[in-house]
Amino acid sequence: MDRPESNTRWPDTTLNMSYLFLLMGGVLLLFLFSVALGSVEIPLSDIVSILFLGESANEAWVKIIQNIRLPRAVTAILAGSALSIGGLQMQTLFRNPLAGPSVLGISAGASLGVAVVMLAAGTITSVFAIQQLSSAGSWLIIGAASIGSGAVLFLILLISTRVRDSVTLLIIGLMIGNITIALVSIWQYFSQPEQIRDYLIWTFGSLGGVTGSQLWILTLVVAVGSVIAFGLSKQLNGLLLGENYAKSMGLSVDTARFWIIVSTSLLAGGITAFCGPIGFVGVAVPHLTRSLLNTNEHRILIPATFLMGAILMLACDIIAQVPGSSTTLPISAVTSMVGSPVVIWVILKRRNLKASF
Amino acid sequence: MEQQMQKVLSTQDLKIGYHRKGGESISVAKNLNIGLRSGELICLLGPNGSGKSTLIKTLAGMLPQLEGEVQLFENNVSDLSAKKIAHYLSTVLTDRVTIGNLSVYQLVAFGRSPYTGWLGSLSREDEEKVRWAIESTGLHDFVHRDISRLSDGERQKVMIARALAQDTSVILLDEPTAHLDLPNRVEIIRLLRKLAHETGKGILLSTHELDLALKAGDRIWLMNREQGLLSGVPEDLVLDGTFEHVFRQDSFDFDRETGSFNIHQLNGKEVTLTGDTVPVFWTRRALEREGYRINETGKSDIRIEAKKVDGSYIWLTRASDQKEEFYSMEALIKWLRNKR
Repeated sequence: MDRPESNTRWPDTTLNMSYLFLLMGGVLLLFLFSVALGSVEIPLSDIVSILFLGESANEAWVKIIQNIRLPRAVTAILAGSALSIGGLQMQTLFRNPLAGPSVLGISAGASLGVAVVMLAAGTITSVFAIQQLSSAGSWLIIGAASIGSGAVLFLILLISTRVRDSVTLLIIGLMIGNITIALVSIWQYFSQPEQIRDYLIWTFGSLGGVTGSQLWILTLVVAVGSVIAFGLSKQLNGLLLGENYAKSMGLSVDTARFWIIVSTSLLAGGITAFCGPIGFVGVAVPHLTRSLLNTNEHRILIPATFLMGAILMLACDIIAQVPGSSTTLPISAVTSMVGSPVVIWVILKRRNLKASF
Repeated sequence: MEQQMQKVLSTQDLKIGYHRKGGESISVAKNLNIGLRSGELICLLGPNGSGKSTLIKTLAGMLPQLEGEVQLFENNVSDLSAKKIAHYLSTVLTDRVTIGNLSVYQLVAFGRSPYTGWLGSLSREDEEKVRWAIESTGLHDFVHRDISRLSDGERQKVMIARALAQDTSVILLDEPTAHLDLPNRVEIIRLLRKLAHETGKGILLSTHELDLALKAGDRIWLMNREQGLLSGVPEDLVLDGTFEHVFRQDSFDFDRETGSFNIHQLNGKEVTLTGDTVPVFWTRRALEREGYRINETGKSDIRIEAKKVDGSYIWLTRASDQKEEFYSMEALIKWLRNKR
């Protein structure tokens, strides 16, 4: 066919990385801020030397930074980015703006695992509280949460091989989540108040309980989940048009769906196990990122969502620690309280999200 | 044109339908032996529920065939991977695309998916194809537009451009003109016809637009429950009565003379209509709407002569030797109604 002469301004399709550098700068800034703030005041110069050289005139400061603040800040980054990427993948797979890592019942599964341990064995939990660092008890809780989320994940994967329709899968996931939560509340009903208290504290979420080898494991889990997610960019782009279109463009939808579920389960299951159920982030951050960057191109969206999640969680954690005091607020309450108005403001201001799905 | 003769997509004794639980299957149509040649635009017609969408999805390899074979070039579709099929065949579906935060260019570029690497980066050749697809569909003014801000007609063109960018020999479209207004429908069909003839692609589209299909299709595939699928040049199917047979229903039927449906119930009366061409054409429509059978030569009880006199229209009527004159269709219809 004749090519019509035109002066069309063709878009530059090389990916625009400038946003990513901006977001990276934001993460770095908040990370330093998060490490610098706390009930004990440490001068900035000492913080920098502790971070990069691992030494300072004050031994106590080194301990505080290395054993408490650094793991906490790293956990915040991991939790924020993992939940956000999990949410992004769920939203694209199910083409549903309300989807998040919790919809497949993964978080609920983890909760059930924790509830079983805490409520069934009251004697153990009174000894091994969740906040106790690097104790056998916290490993027990983490193990139970992982098994819980893993069991739900396995069930979902099993169903997903039979149910080819993602919306049906979404509804089944929601229902499994409901059953799990119901089981937990029945268990709570028959438990002693002290046991319920321990469980409730876990449900508030905490970024401070992950240290040492646990942190390495969590980092590994989040890294694997994120790499899988990024590798799925092309498939996720295709899935934006729906499964039929994705298939018609030569993408293997079944394989993609399998890996999306694996990635999300690793990310959401891992974080829920180690930090407790942290809501809101998984649903909100993808919207925030899409709106701010005005793109649905997953090659940009995935790294950007990763960084945006880290920023949001670091900021929430700083607020949760109530700078200048020794109180700490429950992180999942802070994420919702701080994050929701931010998201509402951005969405109302940009008005470009309406038709994202 | 040699390439026009090549069969790009064909079926042998194909049976289409759905698998139910327990190995049971529901057949929608069977014994389908059809062929799509390159450079040809075929319109797939049929009443609702006759299996048009099922056929298109089966041909595209999205639904399994219950029996028989679908050949895409020399290959059996069920032996091909989704990626391989996507090299030969692209599809425009009825699924509504409602996403936003994506430009027209980005969406059309998704059509290059079968050719790009694992991350989907576009090569220079990919960019060329995308630009060609956008220009061929006349979308160059919308390149940067967010797809959520397009009209239905524009969005449909974007989906077609995406299929074009996929650079396949066959394009299947399921009801591409549904939800569009008449100018957009005509534009889409004209575009597809041009693409088929100029690029040598074999294009199959299903539609409810009988009129457009008859005018635009090089051939028609007519699906119906009793005879399966009938294939032919539109005019042949009209003249041999196939259309009338397939679309015959109680309240209306296909009119061989006009190539469209009669939606009017006859009241059993006849009118003789004579006069100038233009007023006769429109008067005929009004009378048919009122349920009159029209003849042009007979001597019916009611006779109407429609004429143009000094730039305005006039209707002279004669009924049981009573003569009257009318100056608008409205007055004429009122008079006719009073006579009943």
